[in-house]
Amino acid sequence: MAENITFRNHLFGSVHDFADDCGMEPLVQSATLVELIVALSRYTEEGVHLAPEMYLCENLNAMLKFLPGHSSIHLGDATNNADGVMKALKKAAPLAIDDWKIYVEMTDGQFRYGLFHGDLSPLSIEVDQVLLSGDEGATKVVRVHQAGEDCVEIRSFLGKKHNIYLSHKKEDEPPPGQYLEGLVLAICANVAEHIREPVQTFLRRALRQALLRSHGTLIAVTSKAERPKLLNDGIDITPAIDFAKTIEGVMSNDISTSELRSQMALIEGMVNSDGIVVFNPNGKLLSYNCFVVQAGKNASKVVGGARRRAYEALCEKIGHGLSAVYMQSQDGWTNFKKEAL
Amino acid sequence: MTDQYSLSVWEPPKQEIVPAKLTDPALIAGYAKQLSKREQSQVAQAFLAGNYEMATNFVWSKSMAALKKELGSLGMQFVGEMLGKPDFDEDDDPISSITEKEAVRLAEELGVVSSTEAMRLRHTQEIVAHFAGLDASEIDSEGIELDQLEAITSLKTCVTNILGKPKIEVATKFAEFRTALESETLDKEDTRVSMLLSSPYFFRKLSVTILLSVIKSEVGAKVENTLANLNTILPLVWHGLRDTEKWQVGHAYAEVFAAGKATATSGIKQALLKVKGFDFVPENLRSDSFVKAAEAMIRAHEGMNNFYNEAAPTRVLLNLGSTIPTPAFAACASATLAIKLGNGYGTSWAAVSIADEIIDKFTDDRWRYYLNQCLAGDVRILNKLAFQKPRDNWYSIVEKHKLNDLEIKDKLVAQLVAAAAAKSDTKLESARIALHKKYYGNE
Repeated sequence: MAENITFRNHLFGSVHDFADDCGMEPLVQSATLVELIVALSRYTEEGVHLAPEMYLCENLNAMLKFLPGHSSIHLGDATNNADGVMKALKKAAPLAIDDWKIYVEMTDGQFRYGLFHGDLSPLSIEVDQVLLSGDEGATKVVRVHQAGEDCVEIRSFLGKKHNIYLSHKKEDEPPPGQYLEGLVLAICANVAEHIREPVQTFLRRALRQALLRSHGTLIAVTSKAERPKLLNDGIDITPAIDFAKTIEGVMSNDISTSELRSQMALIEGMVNSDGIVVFNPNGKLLSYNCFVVQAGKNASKVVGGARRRAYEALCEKIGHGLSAVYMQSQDGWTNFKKEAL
Repeated sequence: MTDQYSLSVWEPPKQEIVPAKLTDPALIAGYAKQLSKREQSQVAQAFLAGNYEMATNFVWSKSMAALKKELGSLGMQFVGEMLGKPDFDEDDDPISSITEKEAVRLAEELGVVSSTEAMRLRHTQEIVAHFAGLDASEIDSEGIELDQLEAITSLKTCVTNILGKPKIEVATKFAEFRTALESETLDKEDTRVSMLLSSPYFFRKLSVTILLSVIKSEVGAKVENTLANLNTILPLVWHGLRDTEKWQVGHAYAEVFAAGKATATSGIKQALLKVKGFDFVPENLRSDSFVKAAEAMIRAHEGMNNFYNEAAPTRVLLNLGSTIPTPAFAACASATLAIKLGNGYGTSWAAVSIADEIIDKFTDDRWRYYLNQCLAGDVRILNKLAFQKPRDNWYSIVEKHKLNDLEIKDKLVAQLVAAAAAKSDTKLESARIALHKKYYGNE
């Protein structure tokens, strides 16, 4: 008789210690995590791909206290086992869009689930930054979400994090989203110190949301004031969008936060356009829909499509007009190269 | 810990600036070292000619300018922190930025003048403001004028406390501690931290205010030092802090969170986790608009022509909504009570009826909160109770809202309320002075 081979047992063992350390049974246990990880790796409803963020928490109210400006909606109750968590995912996932996230909490012997969001201001600190930073005495919470195609991230209030690859990727492969922070730092490198952190927070949020919906993109950071010559085909934004200036205006109440929301929408539109988006290290968005005309020296050695070739060509220009290059492929996996300091 | 290791309000050397029995304006003016000989002579001549309003106005203006200038030398940011005005920066002009009432309050808080002398300065300020606000027709038809005795008392108060001193010395010891809070990382064993713990409430409250102000407004090493110091100091003082200050910490967390300041958010969060203080984080920043309305009321109340200007901002607060968010309640209650109690000359009729509408909405729980958590540190209201008219208004509030029936944990506040219920001026003054002393640690 043929013996079936499944990665379930291996996965079960791999997340066992993580679940144990959280001390959140029955909500967070190996069986629940395995079900969620498999489901979220390629989650679709009615043929539409969804990437909801799921927060498993011991006490919703205790968790929301960390999030000024929050709101929550209770959707229903479920049994206190893996089936209950899967029911919560099924019912809530289509609604967990934009800033809404799914919660499941343990209460009185059963699970309650629904949706919540943190502060809706594009400037505010993101939910995961506050809840999953590993501070002593933090409220018990675990987040499970799809970080890229066939990759699910689990992260706990203890600061522990695992990326689970459900593909042929090697264990030492950097996870998707790994380089977003590097890109944000490169774009904000020359932003005035007093405003740098808010600009970083805004761009982190804006780029994360844009990249989540992207089918692949290339982003370059130029050390020059204008689009570099090697990108001699593209659309320049005049005047360039100065995020630091807008954010300073918002903080002094001269500009409405809705202006930042509209700029977030522009970032998303440009990231989803064909070609390369160009920022400079002063936190300005200079151009989009740009193309590299000349092939790189190593073009013939590159394995991959047009985006990969363009990425390699841009990487050759780092230190010569460019300070960083970021690429996200169609499946959500990323590459990043920056100028050595 | 003995008193010798505690921070205390700086006390000026007890030397007589103007002889107590001196009543001749010309001789008193001669002690005003900060006035030129010509100015001293002009003051004396004005008194001789019976121009008491002009003389008093001139002396008061010179006194306030000297006092504000000296307070400004401590740093306008520090002054802003003490006044709860975080928008002050070092380029602000102290003379135009600090109001007269604020200057007197700061002088008292920093120990430049004693509590008694501060009361005299406040009285002088009210006299000057009152006569400046009178219509010319009113003065002509009713023959209202400043009398000689009031003018001489005002002159003497100004010379004794401000103009008679070659330079006004302020609380440099605390100013140094303030610098250390942002430039060094203090250990909990540090003598200065131990000093703070045994100091009067005012200094502990001010230290928390300063730490939060620097965290919200600065960047780099200053923020890192103050965050480390907040994490050291907050757990040590938290138990003794009143809810007003605890809300202040929670509000600061919400502010930096909304402003995307990741380092500050993380640092305040760690401090709040240590003290289990997340119950004091507001769900949103809706309370900000209430606090701003309360600040506008105080500005009108403490500014010129207050009786005409108080009604509009008071109506703004009334129209903001029937439920004042808890984080803003201390500020709103203080401002509304200030309008309701008025000053030594009475109240603004137009504003008082609106203030009454606001006060009538205070539930017993809100009154309990104000009496247990706010009044002992609400120096503005306590100072008002030194004057008869505000005191009478306080008696009527206590009677109307049956405040004496509420459970009041603070013994001195309970005495203050009981004295008001019994309409005993003597007992009320005694409780008021005791509260003042407990707050500042001086007479």
